Amino acid sequence: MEFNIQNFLVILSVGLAILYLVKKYNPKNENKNCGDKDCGCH
Amino acid sequence: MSKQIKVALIGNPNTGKTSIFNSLTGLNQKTANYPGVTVEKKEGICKLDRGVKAHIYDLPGTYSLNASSMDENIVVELLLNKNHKDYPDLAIIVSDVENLKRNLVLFTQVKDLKIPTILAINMSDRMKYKGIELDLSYLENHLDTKIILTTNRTNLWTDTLKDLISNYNKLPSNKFMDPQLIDPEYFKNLQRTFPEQDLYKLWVVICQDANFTNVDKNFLDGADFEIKSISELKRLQQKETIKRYQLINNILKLGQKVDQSKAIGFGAAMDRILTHKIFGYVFFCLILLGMFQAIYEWATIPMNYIDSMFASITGWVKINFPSGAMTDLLADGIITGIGGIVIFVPQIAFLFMFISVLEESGYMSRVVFLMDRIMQKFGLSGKSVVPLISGVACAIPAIMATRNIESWKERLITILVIPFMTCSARLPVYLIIVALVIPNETILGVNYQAVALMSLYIIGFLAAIFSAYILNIILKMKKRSVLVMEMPNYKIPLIKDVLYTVIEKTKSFIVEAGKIILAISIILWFLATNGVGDKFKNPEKYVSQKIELLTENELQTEMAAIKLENSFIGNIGKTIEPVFKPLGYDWKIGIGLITSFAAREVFVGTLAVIYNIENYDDSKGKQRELKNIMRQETDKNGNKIFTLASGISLLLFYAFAMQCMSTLAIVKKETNSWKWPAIQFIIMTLIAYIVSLIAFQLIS
Repeated sequence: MEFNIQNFLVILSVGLAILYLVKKYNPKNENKNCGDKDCGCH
Repeated sequence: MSKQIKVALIGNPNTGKTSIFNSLTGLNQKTANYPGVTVEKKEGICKLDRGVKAHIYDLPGTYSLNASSMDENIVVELLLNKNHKDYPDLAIIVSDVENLKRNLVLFTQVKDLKIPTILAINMSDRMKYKGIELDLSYLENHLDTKIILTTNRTNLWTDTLKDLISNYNKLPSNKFMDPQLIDPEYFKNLQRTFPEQDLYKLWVVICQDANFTNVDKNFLDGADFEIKSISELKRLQQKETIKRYQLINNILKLGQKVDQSKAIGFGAAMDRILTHKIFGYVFFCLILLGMFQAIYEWATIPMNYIDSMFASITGWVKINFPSGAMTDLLADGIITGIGGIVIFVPQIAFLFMFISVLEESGYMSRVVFLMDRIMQKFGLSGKSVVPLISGVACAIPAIMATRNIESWKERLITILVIPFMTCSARLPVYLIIVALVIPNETILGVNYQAVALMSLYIIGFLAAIFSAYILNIILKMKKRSVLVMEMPNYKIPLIKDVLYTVIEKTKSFIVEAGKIILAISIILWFLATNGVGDKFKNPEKYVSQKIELLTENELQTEMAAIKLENSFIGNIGKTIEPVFKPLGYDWKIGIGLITSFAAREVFVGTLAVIYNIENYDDSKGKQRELKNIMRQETDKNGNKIFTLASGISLLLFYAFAMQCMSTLAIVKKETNSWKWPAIQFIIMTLIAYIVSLIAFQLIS
């Protein structure tokens, strides 16, 4: 994958997506209540 | 900074607090939770005259200040703690005109905490049907408060209530009852020991159940004061209630007249039919069938519109944005993935609308009563009914709602079987698969697709109660809880209340599910458009026929398919394909199943991304809709992927499998062990696999 602005944005988006999922499903992160932002209830 | 008044809406359950809350705040409201508990916290803003704003808090329903559950305790904790950031300047006690006597017990208790109080007598339009007359000035004088008659039918009373709120500092804050009337000796002693404290407040603090209260009782330690046993405190609480009823009775004797001869007994007649041991279930099934039929038929037009809109947006982005990886990600990953869930907004909104109408009308409480009879036969008690029915919306709050079940084994069983109930996350998967494999035809006016959808809900419920039955035998339950519930009056649901619920719930579904789908779509797109090896890098060398014999479109389509099969996601899919092949699924569905272990609704977004990358389209500006792509999807031999056999197998897999990481996390939190979520996950997935395997092999 050669470097250009579009590829950079793609890598950034993928990184953020992985970070979001890891944060969301981190078992240590239990201090959440249903109804709060990001409680996982939908 | 403009002046702000904090107003707490307090009342018994089913008195119409939320309707008053909606009338005062409109859409200026937000829902969250009280810290550390599952109880919903509703807060809204009401604009008053001269730029003054009232922060309105819709507190959980409670019968008294003697809290016996977590949500009742929220009210007590707030009213006892002057340092609480939401401590109210004013309390509006909402009472039901038909149950005024009982509702006034809570009113008098709040008044005794010296909080300025307004009494809102709600559902006043029913007075004429029930032969009720009120002498408001007499009641205002003797209850020492301002009274407002409210009704859900009109909003004519809101300006008067807003005026009362604006002038809250003119309201009397005298006590209703001297606490020494309860037990003179005990309360004199109490006052002597704590001369600085307010006597009634002190008494409420002492009485709070140590199991769930956060009320500070440290000041009692070391005091020269006789601490009574729990049973003695309970006896004193009963004495307090009796004293309050005596005083209230004396006031109502002259302030309220009820002419029983004028009362119309509509509710009792309805109850005889709707809770009948045979007709009750028949009626419930008919309502469900009508609901699912409407979900399919009414939602078709907006769904087709949304589907086309997302297809057009994808095409437009491809044409108008500079070509490159980010544009492809935007078009084929992000927009397609999000479109895969937004398309179901109409159907989900209709589902929430029907549930809201059933709740608002008072019918849902009758369903709970009906289901209680079935539950008992399967070893569960009535207290499991509410969490199980809540599981139809989402398993997470439903599992949290089991906290009011006293028996640990009964609670554990309920937690373990709730995920079988058909939650709203399963709905998008069911809707698209049913639409693909079940004919859109009718018999005697009943749509086959609606019947299929209803059957899936029934299968989920049956799986839950049969599992409970088996667990009941294995776990040898000894103790049972008893369901005691109040049947609210029947009423015609208000459009605005239903609309608020639909908007709130649908928004929450889309936002929460949307974030996960967006993240997974981005990762999937990346894995599907990147790979290693010659087949991925030079797909033209591996085209099955001579390139000259193919049209440009055919060539591009075949090359896209080769690239996808040899991408990272293709390789993962091919590796896991043997596991899912016996169930009738190809590797792409297998990937969908794996990603939906994060959340079930991700399945549709996953397939949308994979199929969109694979299907080259030269029509420039108009992509094909997902359902059509899925319908035409074939294997290498030209056999259709989505057949009746594979479709039913897939539906059953989703009906039984435990595919929600958030649910597993909450089960771990509630059981304080990874053992139970692990058992739940393994057993449910095994059941799903075996049932789907049998279904596919039998039908195909």
